[in-house]
Amino acid sequence: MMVQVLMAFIGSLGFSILLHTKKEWLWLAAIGGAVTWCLYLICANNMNSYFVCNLVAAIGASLYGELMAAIFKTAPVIFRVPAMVPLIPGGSLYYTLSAALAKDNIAFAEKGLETVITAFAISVGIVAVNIVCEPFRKRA
Amino acid sequence: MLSNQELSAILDVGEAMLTYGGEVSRIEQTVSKMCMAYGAERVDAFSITSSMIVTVRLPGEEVLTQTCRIREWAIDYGRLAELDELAGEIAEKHLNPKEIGKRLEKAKTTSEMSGIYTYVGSVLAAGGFAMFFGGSFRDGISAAILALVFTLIDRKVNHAWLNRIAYSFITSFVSGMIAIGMVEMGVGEHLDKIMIGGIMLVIPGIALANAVRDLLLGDVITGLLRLCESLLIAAGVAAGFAAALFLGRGWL
Repeated sequence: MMVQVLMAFIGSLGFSILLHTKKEWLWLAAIGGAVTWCLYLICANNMNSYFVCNLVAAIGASLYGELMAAIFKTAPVIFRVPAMVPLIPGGSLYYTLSAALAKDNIAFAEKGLETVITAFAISVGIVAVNIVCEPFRKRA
Repeated sequence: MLSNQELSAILDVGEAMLTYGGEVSRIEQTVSKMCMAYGAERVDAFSITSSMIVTVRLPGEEVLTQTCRIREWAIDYGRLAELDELAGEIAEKHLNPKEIGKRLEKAKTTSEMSGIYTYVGSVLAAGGFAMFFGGSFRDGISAAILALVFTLIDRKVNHAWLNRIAYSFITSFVSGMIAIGMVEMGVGEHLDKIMIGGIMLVIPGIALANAVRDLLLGDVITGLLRLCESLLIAAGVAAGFAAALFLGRGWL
């Protein structure tokens, strides 16, 4: 599990670099990814629904983004996106494809649904935080 | 009082922010804030990912309207941060158009890091996620090599003429073949983990989440546009990997 969190950090760091994040913010953006994944794991430990786990983790990532944005007086996207990266359903998507190729319709439906629901949960998380934080934003 | 030139300059800043990956609704607000700072009575800013339109009502009878087209989309958070700062300054200090133009140019050419970092970034991303999803260290290395080749192709081959979906298909296919190659050569152990590492580089996961977010926030047009584009690109990716798997399975 620690390895996974470390890999989440490394993966988020990689994406932060690809997104041309400012050098001084790179590490913070990557930590966001690790924190988000920790949040997800804590949730997963206590309940079975991957929808809720992704939702909570996405809310965490968005809040992290807003917090960093407030501290550094910049746009929340910059910190939110790298933090979200560990949640992106890359694995589910791959297995969806794999099942389709193997003509395993049941697995295809299951993994496909997982992919879509995960993406949906992430979006709901982003929106929820957006709506709550909106009135508090001083900078446009 | 806000002139057309100043509005142009403000719109240029907004356009740049959209190009570099800013959030649509936030940029609409930012543009409004900038215009209001110049004395506008009312500002109506509306944007989708490919176009922005602003109508400003000034005290007196005058009404200004300008639109601009956003032609490309190249996410760069370093530049976005600079632009965000610039927008704040414009609102606070009422910079004149020339000054805005100069600052804008500077922001648009800021380069946080040289090309070599792109390789580093993709290696970390692909390798990290291959292992994140359960791959072994060797899988991580394989995915890292895949990332190097992928980035090399992406940077050296001119693909501006290809549409995004075709490009997604080709890069995914090549990535898939490389992944299979890695396993064949004995470097990688688990084909699926390596491919997932590669997939993370190409899937529009972020764009997809942003699309649904825009939809849920009420930006239906932007949301649908982004959603359709993401789905089409995802289909291209799927087809590319499927083709690679299909061919590869024949050999494995």
